[in-house]
Amino acid sequence: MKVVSVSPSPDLCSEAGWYGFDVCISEPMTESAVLALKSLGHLVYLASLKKPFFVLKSESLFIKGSVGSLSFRIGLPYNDSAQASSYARIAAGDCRTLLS
Amino acid sequence: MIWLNNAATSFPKPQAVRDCVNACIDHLPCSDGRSSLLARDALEDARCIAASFFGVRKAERIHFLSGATEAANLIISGLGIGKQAVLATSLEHNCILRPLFSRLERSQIGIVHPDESGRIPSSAIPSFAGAKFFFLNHSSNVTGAVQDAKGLFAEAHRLGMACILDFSQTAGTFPVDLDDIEADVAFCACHKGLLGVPGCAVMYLRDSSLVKPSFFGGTGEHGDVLDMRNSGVFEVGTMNQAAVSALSCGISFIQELGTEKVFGSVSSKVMHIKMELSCLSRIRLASPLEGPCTNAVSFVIDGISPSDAAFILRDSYQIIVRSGLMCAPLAMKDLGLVEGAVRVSPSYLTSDSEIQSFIDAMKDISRSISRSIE
Repeated sequence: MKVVSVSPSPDLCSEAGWYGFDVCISEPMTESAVLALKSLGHLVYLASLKKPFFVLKSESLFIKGSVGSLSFRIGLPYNDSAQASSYARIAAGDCRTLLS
Repeated sequence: MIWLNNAATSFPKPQAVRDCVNACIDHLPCSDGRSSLLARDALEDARCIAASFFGVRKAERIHFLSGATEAANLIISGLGIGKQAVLATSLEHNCILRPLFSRLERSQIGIVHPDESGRIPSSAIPSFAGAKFFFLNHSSNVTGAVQDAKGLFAEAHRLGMACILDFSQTAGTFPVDLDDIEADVAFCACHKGLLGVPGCAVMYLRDSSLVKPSFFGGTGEHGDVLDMRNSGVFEVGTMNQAAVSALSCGISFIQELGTEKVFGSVSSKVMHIKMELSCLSRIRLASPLEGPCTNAVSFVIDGISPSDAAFILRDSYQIIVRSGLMCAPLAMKDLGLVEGAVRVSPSYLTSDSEIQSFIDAMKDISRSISRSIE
């Protein structure tokens, strides 16, 4: 799974207090990629939804999306697209060595 | 996509409104005084239609502006508040709160809070007896609770306050009689319950000298008069004729069906949603179950944030709702909702199957949280 693009999210009001970035990925998000995020913070995974939803939260980061989607959202407490891109690659398993 | 965010803006619009907007664009432009093309003035027709719909005996009390936020700002800047004290409710939208907090000293602004039913008790008004202006949101865009504007304004008038009503949420979804309520000034957006399009607001002035204009420009007459400060003219520049005509069509649509039918239908959908949500585990309603309400139904879900809930509804169920603070930070503070809430708001044109899809989605979400992996 590769990161295709990272762009500022237009959904400004909903993520009040956070800078949101929408990440497009090359393949649909998988459950294994979601579960691998646990090391980054507190993960809530609603597996039994029509499209299983996940949200990973820590003090300085959130990552949310759905299994099967070609995109997910990252939130940072500051406007840093480079940091967002780094987290995007981690979440997509683009550079999994950063987790180990 | 299912649009359940009608408290923000209504969708879809009636076919008559869509046809009306297209007709405005397709036909030769005409407006009094600015062209040799003479035609019936859609602006005056809309003024009479709006006046009749809102219980206003004198149509000249109705003015059209480009939006409710513009109206709120124009009113606040034109009232001549100066150093005087004002009273606002904690249920006000940011279109009122931000101009007040940006223009006045904090010490000038008194805030009155609702009781447990989400309504402002008239007994709370005398505590702010020094205020000269009272700003009241007829219905909160968060809770949907409708205030007793007539009773509150009677109390405020008794104490010498001029009364300003924001009826953006009640216009088109709840009966509004501005002369009867005895508002001194009032305004509403035309693109929500009135089923019009963005770009138009109705401003009501019981007496045009109450608010001084702060926008000046061409009016299509008396072009040699340059100082317009005391003109009482608020409609300057080229009016958004399509939006004004859409307002006329939207009101006519409601009147042809009958206000009782339209308002009753919205009320019944809202009640159905509230009853279903109140039966689901982990869902807490922030809107009252009793008393008069408009179409805004807000709630929170234990276990996920409002923005996560809205994300799920859109991504998994193609349902659009509103989440967050909803431009009503003080209302959210009253409710203890730091992250805000989720708001679902049907319109008359929302189908029963769309509402059922929302309820089914909420049942899924409620069940899923109970089984979530953490």
